[in-house]
Amino acid sequence: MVLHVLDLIGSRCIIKEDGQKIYDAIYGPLLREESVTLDFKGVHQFASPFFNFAIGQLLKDIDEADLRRLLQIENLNQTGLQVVERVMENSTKYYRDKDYRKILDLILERQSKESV
Amino acid sequence: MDCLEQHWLGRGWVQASRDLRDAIVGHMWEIYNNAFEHSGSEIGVFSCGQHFPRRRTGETLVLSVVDFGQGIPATIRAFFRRHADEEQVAKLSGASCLRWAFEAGNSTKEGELGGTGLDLLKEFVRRNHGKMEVFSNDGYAIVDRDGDRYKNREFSFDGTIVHITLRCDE
Repeated sequence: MVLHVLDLIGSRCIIKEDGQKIYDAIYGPLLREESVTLDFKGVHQFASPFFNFAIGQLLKDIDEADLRRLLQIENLNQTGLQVVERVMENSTKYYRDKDYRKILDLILERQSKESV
Repeated sequence: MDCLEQHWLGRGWVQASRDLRDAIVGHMWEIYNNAFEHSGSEIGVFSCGQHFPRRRTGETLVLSVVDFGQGIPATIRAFFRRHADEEQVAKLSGASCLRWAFEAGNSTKEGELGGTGLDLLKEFVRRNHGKMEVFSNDGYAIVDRDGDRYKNREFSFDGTIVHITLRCDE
């Protein structure tokens, strides 16, 4: 499956609602282990809300290694590549359980060291 | 974003490359999106800017985004209150809250992916050799080529100001 993002979304991929459109189109095929190519030819502007929804939330149900194997991204400029990679890193961490009590303790520990 | 792209960056008096103009639009959306999604501001978000064509340090574009919502530290404290003891949460300083907000992967949005926007902005500003300042509640953050610093302020205000200076020749 090849999806030309310019045709579906336009030259600006920044809002989460547009990311959801991409997710809705590719989720089923990826779950069926079909290869999907996202072609970003003609798309120039990117922001993380778009990629959080288009790609990041796929990691809730699809293993990162499988996703990287099945999902091909083409014609993405440098800015877009940076955003995608950061979203992928964060998404993997997001879907792990978090101990917020422990996180808060670490923040306060650092805070007290800095105030000495 | 059309206003920023066409009436500011696209007017020909900001000498930034196409790639830089596109990067500015995308990264400015990270700021607006955070303000719309997190601030809870009932009167919206305000924005202004100034172009400096001949600064000693080079041509620069200054953009400011302001909201009068609850502020980043207040939002983060409210988030931790749902997961930890009030006694611990009450110790959180404005500076610590802003530092946490700027770290990749941290977000107060539950049930929805987030936590990437401010980290990407930090990286963009550093690569651009620009500067970003954030004033929110009792916290202050500055990101520039020397790194990022977080400070507590003596007075607090309800809301957030993001003040970003970008070099047009980078």
